Amino acid sequence: MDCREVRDLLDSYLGQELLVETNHAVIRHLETCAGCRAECDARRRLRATLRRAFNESPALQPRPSFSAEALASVRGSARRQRRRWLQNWAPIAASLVLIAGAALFMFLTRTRGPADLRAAVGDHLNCAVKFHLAERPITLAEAAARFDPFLARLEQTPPADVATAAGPLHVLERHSCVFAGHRYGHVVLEVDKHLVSLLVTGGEAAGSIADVRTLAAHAVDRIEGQRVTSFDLDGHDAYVVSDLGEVQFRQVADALASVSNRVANVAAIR
Amino acid sequence: MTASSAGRWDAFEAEVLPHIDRLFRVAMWFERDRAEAEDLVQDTLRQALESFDRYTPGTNCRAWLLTILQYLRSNRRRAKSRAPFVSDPEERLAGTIPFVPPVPDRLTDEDLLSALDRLPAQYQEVILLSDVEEFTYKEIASTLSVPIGTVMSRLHRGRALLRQELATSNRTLGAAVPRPNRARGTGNHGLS
Repeated sequence: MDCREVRDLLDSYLGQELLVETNHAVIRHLETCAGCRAECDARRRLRATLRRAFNESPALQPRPSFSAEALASVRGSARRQRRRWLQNWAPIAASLVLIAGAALFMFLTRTRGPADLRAAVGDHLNCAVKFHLAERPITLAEAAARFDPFLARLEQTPPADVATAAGPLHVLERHSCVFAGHRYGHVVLEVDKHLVSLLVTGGEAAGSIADVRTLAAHAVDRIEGQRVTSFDLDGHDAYVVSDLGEVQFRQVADALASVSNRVANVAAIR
Repeated sequence: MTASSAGRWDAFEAEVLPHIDRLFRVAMWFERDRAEAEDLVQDTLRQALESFDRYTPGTNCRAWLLTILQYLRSNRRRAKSRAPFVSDPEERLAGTIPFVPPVPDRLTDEDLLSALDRLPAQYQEVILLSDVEEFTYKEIASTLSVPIGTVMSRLHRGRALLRQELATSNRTLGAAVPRPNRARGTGNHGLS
């Protein structure tokens, strides 16, 4: 490697940008060439002087408080931007959440209009309390075979005895009956000398299972001296009807919804 | 501010704080106006905070910040002036470097900075990034968004021009040359 080649490479050498072999060749040349060594030192000195001159030039120094002020300003802008974002989008996000919540609530309570609730109460009064139906009830097995296989599950759901906060709940009868054009799977139960009906009908959204934890929040209606509420049971509409007091009714309904869903789900998996 | 955004801020501050003074010096060198330089650095930090998720910890934070600063500078210049950039000043200047004079024995800081200031901006940029910031060719190429070959040729010519300027000022004036007070935007300070 001659002097001209070495001087072309000197800056890359000083910047440690050369490949190992080329670097060694430059070093070997510098060991034997005083002229190139002096040139190399001059360039190194020039770089060091420039670095020092630039970094220490009074005209280029920031104010002592500049770093802190710059960061504070940037942080302030970020906060304002975040606040603006929240101001602009939070109401939209909140609206979306409300709409979704309302949609969920409507879904959970979707099919039970006043007429449906009234029909359930009517069946309870005319079937469980007075046994005064126009059409004779049939077995759940027959109803399952003729109308809806799901109704067969009520032969074991809920179980014969259910412990509830309102006291032991005991099944008196299971059958399928018709009232006001609705075919029900009907389980008649008793708690504390009060009759309770669990009525199951419909089944348009098969597979949807209610979150039973939400039941306590469901509306309880009073129709003809009875309390009635409803929940989803594996895609079917389930009603609980009784003349229990408000607290006891909720406890019983909650227990029925919970145990019915649990048992129904196990049956579905099987 | 939430815990996560506070944590993000702490990480950002820890990364960038050590480099703010250097950022300012580079901004001040090119902007030639303290308020403009401060503004440019703050904009750089704002931009950096916004894209901090894309920064890889442990990489060269200063190079990342200077890349943003150069990008913003470039945009500002384009917004301020419709004058076309010199597309290839290297070619124009290629024939103007007949030899590389020796480095003067007596060299003051002021001589050196004045000589650097008289170079076209594209040479100042590469020399500052290489010799002051000690960036590699690759980092300079990335910072300026130019090919590595362009970085090497600009460095080669820029250093030769700097030596010429130093030799000229040393020969003619023999003393410190005051930094020229060029009107903003009229010097050849563009990025190519």
